[in-house]
Amino acid sequence: MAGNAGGLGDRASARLALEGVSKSYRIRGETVRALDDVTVRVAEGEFVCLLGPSGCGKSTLLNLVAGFETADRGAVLAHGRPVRGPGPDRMLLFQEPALFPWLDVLGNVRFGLGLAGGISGESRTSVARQHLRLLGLEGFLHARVHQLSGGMRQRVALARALAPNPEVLLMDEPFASLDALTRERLYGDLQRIGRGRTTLFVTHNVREAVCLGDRVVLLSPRPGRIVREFSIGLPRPRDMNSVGLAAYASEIGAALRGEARPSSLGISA
Amino acid sequence: MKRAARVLLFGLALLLLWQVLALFSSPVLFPSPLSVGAYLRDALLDGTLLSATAVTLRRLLVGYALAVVPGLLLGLLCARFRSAQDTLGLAALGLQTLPSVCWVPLSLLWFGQTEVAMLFVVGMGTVGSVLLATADGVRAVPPIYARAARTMGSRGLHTWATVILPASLPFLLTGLKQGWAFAWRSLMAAEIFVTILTGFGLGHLLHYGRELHAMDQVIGVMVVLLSIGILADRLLFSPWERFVHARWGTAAR
Repeated sequence: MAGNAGGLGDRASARLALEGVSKSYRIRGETVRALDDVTVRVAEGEFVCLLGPSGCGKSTLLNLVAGFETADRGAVLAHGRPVRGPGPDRMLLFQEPALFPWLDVLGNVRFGLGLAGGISGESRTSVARQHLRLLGLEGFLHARVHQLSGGMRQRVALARALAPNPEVLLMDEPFASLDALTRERLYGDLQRIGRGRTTLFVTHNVREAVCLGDRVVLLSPRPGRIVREFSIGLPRPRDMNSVGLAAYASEIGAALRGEARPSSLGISA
Repeated sequence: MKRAARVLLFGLALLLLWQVLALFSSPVLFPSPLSVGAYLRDALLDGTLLSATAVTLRRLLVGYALAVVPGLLLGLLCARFRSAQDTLGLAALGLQTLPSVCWVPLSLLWFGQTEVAMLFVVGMGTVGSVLLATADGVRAVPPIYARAARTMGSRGLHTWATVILPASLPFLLTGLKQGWAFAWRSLMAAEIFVTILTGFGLGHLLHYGRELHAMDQVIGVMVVLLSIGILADRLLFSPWERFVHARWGTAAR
């Protein structure tokens, strides 16, 4: 990803691009500006983390890319074409697992595969099983959703999102409601099986962003504006508790709090 | 086994209480369980009870089915389209609040003393509640399910068939059960108020028990009605409820 380091990404080669996007809502007669002139580009295979406090419009941004909402101004492009609605090429993973309780674990993962088309029922099952095995869930193929722990549910959701092999993965604070140990395990899972997939990941957790992202984009709250970007030059797989990661996290955390501080790491900003 | 024993014990205690109360009151107004039991035995043996039960159950099932199908379909329509909810939904609300016995005079004038009159009363008493429960149930489905399906590429009818409908199953079940209770009440009102020649149901039996001052018959028929209610719940709805609770992981029964 060195080619994109320090910039907004190359417009031509961007898999995802938000170009000067603004979005407002009317809440009880008042206009709330969620995003203001935001430009973000994500290159093929790049993992970009959008980092900001709650209310900075990062979920709005993800909803725009996913196609659940439309921008007031600016362009939202996926694969160079304007986004017109949700689709399996931009799979969105929610904060809640949003698994279907009327299906078992395997049925949930098969659901998206059935929509992908061109896959027979048999190979759907085998692809679903393979993804569940990758996430250590092969023993729970026929478990009910309510029988699983929170972390396992989110792993099933991850398997369900990845099984149809989407070109882009969008993640909306998917680990926010999990405990720290479970989260760390999922960071490992995601780095292992989500490698090389174009991903836009929204979070308010600085260390999470540093652990996962090739680039971390900082958003300011109300209206959401891009403040700074950081390229994370750490080797993978990254350890949450490494000194290098902590140094990045403290640098970015300071920037997030609005403290201007000379970079000790030589991080491009 | 322990639960069955508990139920048995409860039943015996009720019977005992009933018998003790009957000892202190007039048999004309409050017959003892023994005389009610004697009536039930005689009515069973001469066939009146069985044929009346058959007539009533047939009306109930046909009337219920006739109401449930449009109730479910129109309920889905109301859940999907605002305009349907504002019009049909309002009409259904009116229907639901109107006691179904109010349909009896109209039904008699339109259809005469026929089966259709009975079914009409049952249908009108049931359809509103099924429609409203269906619409409410579908609206209660967490929107995140539909969003999850849409991001996986599901659209329109596919989303409805594979996500909204199964997700609303627990609520639909409640609606169907409520509709059943409404159908049962409507039918009894109709049978007690309308004499028709095409079939002599349990409601008629109850009505004539009063006319003849046969309190053992009145209470005997009520016992039958109660038993049918419990049996219907256990046979028609409980298996579904258990299924849904097991799947959804909600309150175990």
